Amino acid sequence: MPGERWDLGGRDLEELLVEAREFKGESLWQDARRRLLANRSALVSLVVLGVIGLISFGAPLLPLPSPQALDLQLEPQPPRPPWVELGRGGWTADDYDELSALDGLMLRTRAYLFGDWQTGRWFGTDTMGRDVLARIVWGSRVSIVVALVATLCSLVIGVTYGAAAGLLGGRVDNAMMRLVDILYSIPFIFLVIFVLSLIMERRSELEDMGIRFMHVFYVILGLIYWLTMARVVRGQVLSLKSSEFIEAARVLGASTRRILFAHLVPNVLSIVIVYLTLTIPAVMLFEAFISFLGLGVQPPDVSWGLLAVDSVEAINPVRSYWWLVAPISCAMGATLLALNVLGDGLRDALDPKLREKD
Amino acid sequence: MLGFLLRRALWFAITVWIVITVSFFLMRAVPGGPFDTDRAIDAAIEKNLAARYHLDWPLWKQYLQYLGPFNLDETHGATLAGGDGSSSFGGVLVGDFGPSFKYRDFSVNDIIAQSLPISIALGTVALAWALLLGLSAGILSAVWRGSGVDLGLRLAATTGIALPNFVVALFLIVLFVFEVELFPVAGWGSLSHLALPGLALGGPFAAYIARLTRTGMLEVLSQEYIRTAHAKGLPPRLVLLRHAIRGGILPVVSYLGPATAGILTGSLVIEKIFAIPGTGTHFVNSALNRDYTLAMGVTILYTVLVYSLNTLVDLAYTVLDPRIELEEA
Amino acid sequence: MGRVLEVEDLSVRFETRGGTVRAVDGVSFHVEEGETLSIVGESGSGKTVASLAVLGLVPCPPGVVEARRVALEGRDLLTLSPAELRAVRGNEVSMIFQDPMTSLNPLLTVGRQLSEVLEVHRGTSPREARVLCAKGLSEVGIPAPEERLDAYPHELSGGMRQRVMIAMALLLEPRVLIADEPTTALDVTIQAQILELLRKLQQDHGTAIVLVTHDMGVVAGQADRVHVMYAGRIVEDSATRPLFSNPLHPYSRGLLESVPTLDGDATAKLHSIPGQPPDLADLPPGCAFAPRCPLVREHCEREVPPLAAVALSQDGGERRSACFEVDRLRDTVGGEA
Ligand SMILES: Nc1ncnc2c1ncn2[C@@H]1O[C@H](COP(=O)(O)OP(=O)(O)O)[C@@H](O)[C@H]1O
Ligand code: SF4
Ligand SMILES: [Mg+2]
Repeated sequence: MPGERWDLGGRDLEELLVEAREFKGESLWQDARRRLLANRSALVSLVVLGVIGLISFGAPLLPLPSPQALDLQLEPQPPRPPWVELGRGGWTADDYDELSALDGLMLRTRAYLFGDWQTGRWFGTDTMGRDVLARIVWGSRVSIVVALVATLCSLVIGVTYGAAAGLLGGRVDNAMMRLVDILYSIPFIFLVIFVLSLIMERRSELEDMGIRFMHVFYVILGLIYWLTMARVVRGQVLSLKSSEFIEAARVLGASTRRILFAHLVPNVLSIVIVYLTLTIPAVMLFEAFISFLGLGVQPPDVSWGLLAVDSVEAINPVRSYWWLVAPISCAMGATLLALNVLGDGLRDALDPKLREKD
Repeated sequence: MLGFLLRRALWFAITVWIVITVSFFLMRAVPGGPFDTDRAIDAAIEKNLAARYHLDWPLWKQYLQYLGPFNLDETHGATLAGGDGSSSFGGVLVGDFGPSFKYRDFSVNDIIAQSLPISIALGTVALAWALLLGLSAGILSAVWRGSGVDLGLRLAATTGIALPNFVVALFLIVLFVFEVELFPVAGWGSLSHLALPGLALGGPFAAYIARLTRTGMLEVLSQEYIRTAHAKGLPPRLVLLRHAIRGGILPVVSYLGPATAGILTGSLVIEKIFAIPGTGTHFVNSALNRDYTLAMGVTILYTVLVYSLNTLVDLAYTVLDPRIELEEA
Repeated sequence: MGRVLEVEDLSVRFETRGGTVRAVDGVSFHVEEGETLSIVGESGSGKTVASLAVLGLVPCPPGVVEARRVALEGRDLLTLSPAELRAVRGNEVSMIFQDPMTSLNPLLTVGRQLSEVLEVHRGTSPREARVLCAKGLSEVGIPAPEERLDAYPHELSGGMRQRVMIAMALLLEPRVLIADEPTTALDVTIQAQILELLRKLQQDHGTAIVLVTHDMGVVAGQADRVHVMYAGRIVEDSATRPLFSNPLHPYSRGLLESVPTLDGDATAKLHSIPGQPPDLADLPPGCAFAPRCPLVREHCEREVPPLAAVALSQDGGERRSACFEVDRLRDTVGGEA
C-alpha cells in the first residue's frame, strides 16, 4: 500500500470518506438525470410508457365495452361507425370476471361519469364479437402485472444471490457462480414449459388450495430472469469490495453492515436499475410467448400474448382480419420498443462505461 | 485444450444430470402426474409404461432405471420392452427416452428422429439469416457512422429487438405470402418453405447481432492498429476485411451460444405459426397433451445441444482471438 | 543534401461540437536525407496531428487539412489520388507510433502484419516475403526472427513490439521515417536501445527521420535540428546544440528547465512550466503562450508573434523564434558566446 494514500493533510479520514461518498453519490445521480434528460428518445419513451401505464391502470374508468362481453356473430366486424354508442355492457361489475375493490370503485365512477355511453367499434371486434380495443386495454393490465411481478421476483433473487456471492467471496463465491453457470447453460424455457404443463394439470386443485395459477406463473417467470442480475450484482460488489474507499472504511473498523448499506447499496443500485428496465421487456415478451403457446394466461383472462394468438388465427389466405393484427402488434411493439429505448437510455445515463460508442 | 475439453465434459455431465434428475422428480412429485395409476390412458400405452417404468418399484430404483443402462430387473434380465414394445430399454444416459405417452406406436426417439432434422434445418436457416443481415447491417452502420443509412439501420435494429418474433412473422406472412406471393404459406417440404419462417425466427437475432457488430466495429475502428494499417498503405477494403472485421465481430461470436439457444426456443412459436412439423411443435404439443416423456426427452436433448454448441463457440473464439486462453472456462 | 520532405504552411482543424479545434496552424518544416528533425512540445500541442497530416491520415471529418505544399522529393503529395497516396504510405514514407502495444493488431501474427507491407507495395510472394520479413526482424535486433514471425504481439515484450514496428516501417527502405513518440511508452533502458537502433538504421540507410517527442532528453541525443511546437504553431526553429545552450523562446526555455539533470539537486522539485496549454478551440488572440509566459508584455496579447529569424548559430545555421521579447530573453540567459 503506497504510503502517501494516508497523507490526508491532517483531516479525519472518516470525514473525507463521507464527503467522497456523498460527492460521488450525488454527482452520480445528478449526472445521470442530466444525461437522461438530454436523451430525447428516452424521454419520449418515458412519456409513452407513462401514458400506457395510466391507461392500463385506469382501464375501469374508461368508457369501453366489457372485454368479455360476447356478441356472437359469424364474422369479426371491422372498425366502423358509430364511434360513440349507447352500451353493449361494461359498466357494471357483472360484466367482468374478477375485480378488485379499487377497480370496482373506478367502475362506479365511470358509470357515474359516462352513464351508458361508450366507445363504438374503434378497432372492430374479434371472432367472438368482443371489442378489440377493450381487450387490448384490459390485456395490458395482465401483461404489465406479470412483467412487474416477475421482474420483482428476479430482482429479489438475483440481488440477494449476487450480493451474497460477492460479499462472501472465495470458495463460496466460486461455487455459487458455478451454479449460475450451470443454470445458464440449461435452455430454461423448455424446463419452464415442462413445469407449467405439469402444474396446469393440477390447476383446479391449486385453486382450491387458494393458489392461483397466475401467481405460480409470475414466480416461475421470475425464476428464470435472476441469473444475469446475480452475475452483474456480484461483479459490481466484487469490484467495489476491492476499491479503495471500502478498504479504507474497513481499515477504520466500520462494521460490515455499515459498509454494506452506506457504501455498497448506493453503488449497486444504479446497475440494478439498468438491468431492471431491460428485464421488464424481456419478461413481457416471454409472457406473450408462453401465453401464445397456451401455457400461460388462460381465458377468460386476457393478455397481449393471448391477443397475439387471435391475430395469428386471424391471418389466412381467404381473408385476413387486419384489425385483429395491427392494433395489438402496434401496442405490443410500442411498449416493448419504449421499454428497450428507456433501458438503453438509463444504461447510458447511469453507467457511461457501458455506453455504446457513438 | 484437452484439459479445457475434459473440464467442459465434466460440467456438462453435471448439468445434464441435474436436468434429468430435476425433471424426473418433478414429474413424480406432481400429484396426479403421469404415473398416477388412476389416470385414464390407452391400455396399450399403460402396459408399455408399466413395463418400462416399473411403477411398483421404489422410487430410487425407478430413477436409476430411467437414468441409465442399469440392469435392475432380476426377473426379466436386460431384455425389457422398449418404446415400441420390442427393443431393449437403455435409459436416458444411452439416449433412450422411452415410449411416448400420446403416440402409441412411437417412441420419443422415433419422434425426435423424425422432427429434429426439420428443426435443425429451420434453425440453421434462421441463424444464416441472422448472421447475414446482422453482420452486414452492423458493418455498414459502423463504416457509415452517423449517416442516414446508419440511423435507419439502428432504428430497424432497435425495433427488431423489441418486437416479438410472432409479430415479425405476421408481418412477413402478410407481406410476402398474401401481398407479394413470393413464398408458400406454411407447411414443410422444400427449402422455400423455410425461408420465411427462418427470417421471422432469425429477425430479432439479426437485430441484436447488428447492434453488437456496430459497437464492436466502432471499437475496433478507433483502435490505433487500424491507423497503423492505413499508414502501411493498405487499401481501405483490406484494412476493413483483414484488420477490422475480425476483431469487430468477436462479440458476435460469443453471442452465438445464447443466440442458438434463443433460436431453438423461438422455433417453438415459429413452427406453430407456420405449421412446421419440427421438434418444437412436438414439444409444445407434448406439454399441452401431457406427453411427459416426450417433453422431458426434448428438454434433455436441447440441453445437450445448447451445451455442445456453447463449447464449440468457445473453441471458435480462441481460434479467432489468440489472446484468450482456454484455461479459466 | 536535398530536402526529402518539405511541408509548407500546414494547417489542420477539427470541426467538433465544441467548436473548431485548431490543432495545427501554419506549420512548415523540412527534413534532409540522413538528417533527424525533432518536433518537440507538450502533449496536445498538435505534433501527432501534424505528422498524420503529412500522410493524409487525419480522419476527415471531423478534420480539415490545408497546406500550401507537402512535397516528397519534389512531388506534391496533396495532388495525389488516394491510390497514389497509398503507394507512398509505408513505402516511401513510413510511420511508427507511440504505443507498440496498441499499434499492432493483436489478432494477427507478427509475420502477417509485416508481410502485408511487401504484399501490397511489391506484390511479393508469401514465401519470399517470409524470408524478407525475417531479415527485417534480425536487422532490428530481434533474436530468432523466424520463430517470432509466428508470434502474436501479446507474446512479445514492449521493446520487442516497438522493434517489430520499426522493422515494419523500414521494410521497404523508405526515404522518410516519421516516428511519433517512439519511446514514450517504454522503460528507460529499452528507450535507449530503441533510440540507438534508430540511429544505427539511419546511418545504414540514410533515412530522413522526423522524430516527434515531448522529451527534451530524447531530442538532445537524437536530433540534428529541432522545431519547438506550442498550441499548433512552431515557436522556435534551431539546430539542436544552440537550442540547448541558448533557447530563444520562453517556452523552449521552460521545456529545457523541466528536464531533470543528473548533477542537479536530487530533492529539488522538477521545474515545470506553470499553467495549462491553451484550449485549441479557443486560442487567445495574441501569442498563445502569453498566459504562461514570464516575459509577457502588453502587446503579446494583441498580436501573434511571427516565426522570424533572430540569429545565426555557431555553425552558421539560421535560428528563428516566434517571440516579441527575444532580446530580453538573450539578456536573461546571456548571449551566445
Ligand atoms: N479526431 C480528432 N477530433 C478532434 N480533435 C482532435 C482529433 N485528433 C486530435 N485532436 C485535437 O488536436 C490536438 C492536438 O492533438 P495531438 O496532435 O495528438 O497532440 P500531441 O501529439 O502533440 O500530443 C488536441 O487538442 C486534440 O484534442
Ligand atoms: S511573444 Fe510575449 S508572450 Fe509570447 S512568448 Fe514572447 S514574450 Fe512571451
Ligand atoms: Mg501525440
